[in-house]
Amino acid sequence: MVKMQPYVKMWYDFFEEGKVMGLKCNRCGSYEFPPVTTCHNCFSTDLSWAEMSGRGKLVSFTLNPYPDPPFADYAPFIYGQIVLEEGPAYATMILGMDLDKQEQLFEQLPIDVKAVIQQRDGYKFIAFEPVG
Amino acid sequence: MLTYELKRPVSIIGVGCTPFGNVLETPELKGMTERELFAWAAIEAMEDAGLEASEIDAFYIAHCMPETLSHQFGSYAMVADWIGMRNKPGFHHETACSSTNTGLRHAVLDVASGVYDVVLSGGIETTNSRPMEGKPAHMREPLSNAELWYRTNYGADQAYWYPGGMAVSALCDFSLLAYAKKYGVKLSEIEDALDAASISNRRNAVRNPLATMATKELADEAREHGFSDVKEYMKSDFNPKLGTVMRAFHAAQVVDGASALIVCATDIAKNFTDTPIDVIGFGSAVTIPYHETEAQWEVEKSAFEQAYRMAKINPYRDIDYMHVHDCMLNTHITSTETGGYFRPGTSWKAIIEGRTAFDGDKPISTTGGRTWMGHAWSASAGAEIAEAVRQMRGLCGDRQIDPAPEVSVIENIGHGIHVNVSVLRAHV
Repeated sequence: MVKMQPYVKMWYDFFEEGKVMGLKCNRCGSYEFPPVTTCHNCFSTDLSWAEMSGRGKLVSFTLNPYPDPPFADYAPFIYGQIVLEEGPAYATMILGMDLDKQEQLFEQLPIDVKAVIQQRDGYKFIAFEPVG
Repeated sequence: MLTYELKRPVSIIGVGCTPFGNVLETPELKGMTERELFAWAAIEAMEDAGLEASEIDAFYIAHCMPETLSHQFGSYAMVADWIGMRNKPGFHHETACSSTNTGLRHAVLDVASGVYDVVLSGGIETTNSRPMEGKPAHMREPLSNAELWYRTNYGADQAYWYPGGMAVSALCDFSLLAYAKKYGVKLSEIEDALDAASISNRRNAVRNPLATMATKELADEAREHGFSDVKEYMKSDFNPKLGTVMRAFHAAQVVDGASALIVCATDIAKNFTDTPIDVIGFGSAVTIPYHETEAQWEVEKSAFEQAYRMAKINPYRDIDYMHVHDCMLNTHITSTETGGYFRPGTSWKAIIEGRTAFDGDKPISTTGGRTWMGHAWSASAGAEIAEAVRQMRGLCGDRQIDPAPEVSVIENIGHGIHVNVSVLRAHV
């Protein structure tokens, strides 16, 4: 019997509690972030919620001169790719970067970043910002 | 057990493609609906194959965004009578911008299985406009670029990614920065390679009668704007930045159009044409691209490797022509290396040196690419396969690759992400 949960809703609900959560495979220990029902590494479907550190490395980015209209209020920001401490890679909004120094940012990669939960219209989502 | 072998060899015997333009403006297309466009491509493919609709056993129509752009689904019924396929098997499908490359795979598998002998696979998209609500299909109104892309992004993850403020277009710079970091290339050199790829694509498009939007080479356009050096024009405000290195002229121009391919069992191909082109390999792979943090994506590697394994070719030695999915020109740098057309870390320089021009030793995207022939969502991959077929037959006039390619590879990437690779070889 499959014991399905509303994973997407729960992931967002955890942000309301200030928690950054993923799923951890009970067989091989790999993490799924954001949550999906099958381990990418060993294909087990036995996974449990686990709190993530919210820390990672920014490994690539792009300037974003034309943010999608729903996110215009957050500008200026960049889009970034993050490899989380626990292993998964994710891509999202990166706040608090100096957009006039892209060459320097590029030279500094990878850059330590941490999660910052942001409020939108009706839900919270995860962005990242540089550490320190 | 996976065999990566077709039980019955399959060949392309006919190709068709409309001019790519805008049904509200382009003289050759003005006033046409999806039906006339698809029929144009399909009937041209039938004439090219030397057959009539009665000899076709089944058909596929790729139509990526029919509800937004055509206010209907059921695209198979929309076109069936127009191409003589009433009461025959007909299927609508989409894998976004790789759709008609995937459609070739569907058609090939139908024939390779032995179920059918002859199958037509085409695609249609009208991206610049949409029907007026409740009015006949020819009564259309312009669709803004912003709304088109907003709807197109329904093809990307809507659970996590888009609600978190992410955009698919960012992937292009991500891969280029990863490439620059890995191979020690300056960002300015990456920009020069992107500019050179765009100049090459425009040069091809000007020589392609189906690329109606391209009327002059970028050097001539630069002079009209007062730039004696096209390189300065490419760095000017006429070509604004879209990201850290990508600029407007490195990105797709949206167009309307249709394409069609007809395949049949190789053992009967000569009954229809003297110049069949064999489909010797294909590969497909999908992913949500959060995970792709390298310049060479795993999802592309998988699709290329499947295709080359089936085709039994060595990409570094055997490929004469490659089309990579250039709705954003980062792929001329990254995908060409993932696909083994160039050794790792070398493509950017080859592009700047002009080697990827139609008359270079490593030609890419002789259609003009999705930058300058334009991007008609579902229809473009079929146009790119049709181009490869025509190049292999020596029919491409003043953009003809010399000598005509014997082995061609066409790679497409559907929004969101679906990669499909096809390998073609001239029949011997």
